Amino acid sequence: MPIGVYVCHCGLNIAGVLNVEELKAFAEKLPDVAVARDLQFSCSDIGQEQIQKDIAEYKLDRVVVAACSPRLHEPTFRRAIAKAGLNPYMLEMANIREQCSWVHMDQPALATQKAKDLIRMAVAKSALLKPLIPEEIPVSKDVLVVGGGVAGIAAALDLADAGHHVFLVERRPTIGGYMALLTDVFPTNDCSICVLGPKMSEVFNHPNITLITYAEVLGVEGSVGNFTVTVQKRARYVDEKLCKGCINECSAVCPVEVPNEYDFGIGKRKAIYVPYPQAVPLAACVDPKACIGCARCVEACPAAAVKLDQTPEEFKLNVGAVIVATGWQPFDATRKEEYGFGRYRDVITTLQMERMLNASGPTKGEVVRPSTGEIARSIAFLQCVGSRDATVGNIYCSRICCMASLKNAQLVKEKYPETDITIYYIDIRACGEGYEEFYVRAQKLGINFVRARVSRIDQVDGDIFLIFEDTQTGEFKRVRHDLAVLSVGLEPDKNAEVLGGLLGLSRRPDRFFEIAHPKMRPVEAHIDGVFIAGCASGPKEIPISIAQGSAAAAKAIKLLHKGVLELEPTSAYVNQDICSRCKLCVDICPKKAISVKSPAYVDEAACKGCGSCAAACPLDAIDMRLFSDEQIVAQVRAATEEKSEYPLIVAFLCNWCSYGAADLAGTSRIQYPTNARNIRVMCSARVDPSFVLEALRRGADGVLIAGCRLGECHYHNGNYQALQRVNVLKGVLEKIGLDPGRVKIVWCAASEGEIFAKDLKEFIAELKEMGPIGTELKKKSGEAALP
Amino acid sequence: MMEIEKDMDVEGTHIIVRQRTKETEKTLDYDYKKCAGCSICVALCPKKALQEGPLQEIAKGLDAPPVLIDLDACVFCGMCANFCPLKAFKMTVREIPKLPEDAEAKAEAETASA
Repeated sequence: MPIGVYVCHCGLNIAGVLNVEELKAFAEKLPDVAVARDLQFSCSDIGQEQIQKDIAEYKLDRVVVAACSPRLHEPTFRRAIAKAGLNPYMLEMANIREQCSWVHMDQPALATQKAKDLIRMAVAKSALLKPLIPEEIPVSKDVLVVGGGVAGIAAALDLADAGHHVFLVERRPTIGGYMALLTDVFPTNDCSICVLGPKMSEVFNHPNITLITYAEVLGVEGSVGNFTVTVQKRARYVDEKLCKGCINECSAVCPVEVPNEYDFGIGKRKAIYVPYPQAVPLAACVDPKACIGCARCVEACPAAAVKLDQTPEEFKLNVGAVIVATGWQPFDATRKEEYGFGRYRDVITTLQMERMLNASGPTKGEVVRPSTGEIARSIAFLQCVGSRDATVGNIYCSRICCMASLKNAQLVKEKYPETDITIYYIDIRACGEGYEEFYVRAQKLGINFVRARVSRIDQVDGDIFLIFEDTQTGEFKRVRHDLAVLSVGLEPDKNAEVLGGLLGLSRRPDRFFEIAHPKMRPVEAHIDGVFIAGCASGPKEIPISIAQGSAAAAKAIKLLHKGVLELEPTSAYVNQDICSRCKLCVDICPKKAISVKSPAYVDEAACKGCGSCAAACPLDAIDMRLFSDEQIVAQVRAATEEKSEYPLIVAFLCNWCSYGAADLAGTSRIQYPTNARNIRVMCSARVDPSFVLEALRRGADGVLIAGCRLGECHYHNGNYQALQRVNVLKGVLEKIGLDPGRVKIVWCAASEGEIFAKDLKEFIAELKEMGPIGTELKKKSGEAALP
Repeated sequence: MMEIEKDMDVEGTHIIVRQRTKETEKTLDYDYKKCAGCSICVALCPKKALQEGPLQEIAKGLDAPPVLIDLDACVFCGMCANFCPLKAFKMTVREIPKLPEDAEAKAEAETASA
């Protein structure tokens, strides 16, 4: 196993602090090292050529480069050795620049000693490297879009136009979502269905889109590139293909009337109905909860499309990616009992107002008092009903309600200029292109604004009264209005919870689906191959929902367009002989990549290589292909082989944040002591308690584990798992008589080099206080010896 | 809109209501001699087309139907017939045979020419 070691000068960046000749001489004597050199700039063409020449000459089968951070040049050197015929994964880097020469500029001797340890650790690890071949798997280019609202429609059309086949699954009998029910939309007051309707029919007619309405996803198996999705199409009791969408023939003879959910309860519909005239597909649907089975519709239908014996259909789809566009549901205003919604007829919600204003709505565009049927002459809009309200568990702002009320108020004012309109608000949030101008326009139209959160609505003799404190004048008031419109907030669609569970999506505290990164990855889920668009990940306006639908489509196209997927060979694998099927790993895996049917099985396409399962497995039946147990233990042993410093710290740094923070400390030249021997792991959850115990057993004075800040883990919640393990481990240390403070877990973001250095300094001070490892045991036996 | 005709007949203790469309003739035959006045049908009728009769008087010997049918409200869904424990209601559906197409066309042509 001839190993080549290359110590980089990096000009004076490294050589100016460390004694590179000494390091080279040290490396030469390490086991299995066939050649060691110091190179001016190892990443330069000359440097790379030297490595390639040596690979041929010395028949090297693995290479160690002691230079900068692997986060910078690992890909460069992997490519270089691959050119010389080595497997690219037969490379290990010792980070002697960012995490050594740059941070210990005033301590060249100690820094050189640390660099020696880092090189020894890298050589020890490199001896255990195995060639890895990235696997390519064929993937389905088809995409499932769940939810036919505006976000789902945008995603489906972009995908279909790009040549991907789309299955668009919608729970309701028509696509269009909430947008199809709105009247005009802000800030331009153009007609909602006029802009959405053409898109809806485009979806219906697109050769690349299979539209499946009145259907639900029942099961999801597989992973990125190859999801198998079970979909159930509920019985509509009408043959979609035969129905001509004439609407009236069947519903005119239907004897059953129920409140129309598409008018939010203010209008009525029959048991057989078409949701609205622009519905897509334009086919009737029988509500099985309302139908009494008289079969008049069967006889009335001239196309013989009504089939009361229809049964649900179940089928399976094979898709490469899933776009979740499940949208939202309005806040249930009856939960704010003080407003009397559901008891007082003249208290309505925004959505009911939208339907009233809609020319094809239940009142044909007239804004009336539901109690009398007369035109409302005085209207109050109450903002933040179910939003920014901890008493109902919704702290968040629903973002669109201010604009929706401004818009509805304007529409009413334009239609009935004499109407007295007051908007009761906490803050008006009009942040968006043209929104502030829209707000000003509303003010100019003579709409009143009162800064107040209405505390109660009373009904006296059929009239409603708002009771509130005007926070600008400090007065308590009681004001009569004809109609009160509750600006209800947006909540995540309850029906989407099932899908979220099937896909393994996580939820934020506000219960909307969580995206992979709150800024940088706005449409990706934590699960590979799953994207989230529109209000499923939080309240959004129409243009943003459309942008997100298109963004999700672009992401899915990027993922699938080649038809194959290259898998990083960093995944976990199971030694099936050892696995006891305890299933601990199944719950721990943030990517839902592990299933236990017979022994555990890791779906390598889904695995992202965090290694939490390998750390959790009580029998060590799971290991990683890269960052294996054996390799990490070898690094721990090499770090503690020669106790070259006191206190000696073995530090495990997660690749994404804390290793990045340590690198940043280097690039920012933040100076800190040399005591830590850093080991890079993919996630703090990778740290198996046995690594820590091994380090302490071999004489390390302390072990530092650093992860991303809580809540910011790149694998969702690995750092919480690490924290839990450290807490258990502290108990173990206490039992065996060691100070539990010898293990420390800290959090730092990749931008927090300063914090990393501070945490390390603190830990060194704490360890000095404790004394060398074993002091506490000596103290104890000393105490026991005393009378 | 499809045309619906309804009528009601009384034959002895049978109250017979009928609904005719161009496709079917539905007959609901209520034999009040079999009816015990349990009122299950009244509770269950989705159109509230059934109503209790003078039950107390009937118990004292009055010869009258314990359940009254509102012909206008009844939609002939047949739920009463399905649930009646004493089978006092009987529902029959007769398909009205369609005229052969050319015959129909001929008939239409005849009426048109007439």
